[in-house]
Order: sequence, then C-alpha cells, then structure tokens
Amino acid sequence: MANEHDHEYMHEHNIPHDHHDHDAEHPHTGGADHAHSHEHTHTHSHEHTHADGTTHSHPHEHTHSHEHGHSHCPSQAAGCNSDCAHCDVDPKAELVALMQYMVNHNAAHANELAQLAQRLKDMGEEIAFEQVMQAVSDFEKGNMRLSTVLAAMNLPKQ
Amino acid sequence: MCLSTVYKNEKKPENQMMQNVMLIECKDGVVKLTDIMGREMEIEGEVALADLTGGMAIVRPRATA
Repeated sequence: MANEHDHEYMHEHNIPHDHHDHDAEHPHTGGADHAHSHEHTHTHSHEHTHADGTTHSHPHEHTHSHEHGHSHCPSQAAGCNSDCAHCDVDPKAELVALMQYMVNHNAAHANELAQLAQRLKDMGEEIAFEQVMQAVSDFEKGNMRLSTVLAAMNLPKQ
Repeated sequence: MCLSTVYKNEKKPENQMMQNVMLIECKDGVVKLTDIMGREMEIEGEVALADLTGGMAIVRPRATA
C-alpha cells in the first residue's frame, strides 16, 4: 500500500515542552479548599523517515488533565494561620457594626471640623468660620439620619 | 483613625488579608490584626507600610528557610 512506511522517531517522547497559559481565576465566595481539574493541549511534531527515504514530520496533539488545589478564603491564601471558626459572623451584625462605626467616626470628624473652624475664627477668618460651621451642621444632620436608620435596624423584629 | 485593609507584600486583591482592621499589634515578630468584629489574624513578619489616609497597610511575612 502506498501508505505503508516505517516510522523512525527521531526524538524521545518525554522531551520537555511548554504548556500554554490559562486563566484559572474565578469568584471566591466560600471557605472550603478544593481543586479544579482542567486540561492542557499542546501540539508537537515527530520527524520520521519513510521507506523511500523521505523524511518529514506530522504535527499532532496531546491532551492531559491535572488539578490545582487551592483555598477560596482570601485570608488563607494571603497567609492566615488562624482558626476559620472565628470568621463566622452574621453578615447583618457585621454591617450594623460597620455602620455604627461610621456614625461614631463621622461624629468625631464633625468635632474635628468644628475645632478647625474655631482656629479659622481665631485667625480672623470670620466668614470662613461661619461657612465651615454650616458644613459641620449639614454633616451632623446627615449623620443623624444614619443614626436613625441604625437605631431602626437594631430594633427587635415584631 | 479610619479602618484599614491589610495586604500581604503588595496591594493586590488576591493578597488581601483582612478588611475593616481597627487594630494592628506587632510583638515578638508577629503581626496581629483585629477587625471591627473582633476577629483576629496573626502572621509572622512585620508591618512594611501603613497608609493612614488611604486606609491600607502592608505586612511582609517573615521569610521561611
């Protein structure tokens, strides 16, 4: 037959070769470690000699799969060695705590702004003092609204 | 005064160690982070940078042999 020929492979099959890059990123929302299996395909050629003395090569592909294990916890990925149990906090409780922090934080900033305004007044900048104090008042009104929302959220459900 | 986000080595999302950090303590080569909920995290290393206006700190872990 015309297709019959001897294959004289002129290389070893374990020749190192590069894999193509792939993007393994995906949303990390849980805390469990696990692995994803995926495949890599690469193409290479085997040069061989036919019975008639012609030497050439055919490209062909190999596919293999492997796994990468990883953690979905960003803190673990960043080197956290702590017990994961302490991370289990009610999301709403955390949100309320953050809002409470912001309300207190804003009140502290309003106080600092009022002190800056006083320094402006001491420098004879009366108009600037009044404008900054107006801003402090507006700031406190907004913070009062936040505080009201927070108080409503902290009320027990009926 | 603001809460901070702490990263390992470099400010990149994948390097984020803890958000809403209210306390950073360094003692005996260990950096201890505490967030607003009281959760704690410890890592052997040092604070490389603390951006107090940007609310960001970077911790450099101790190199392991």
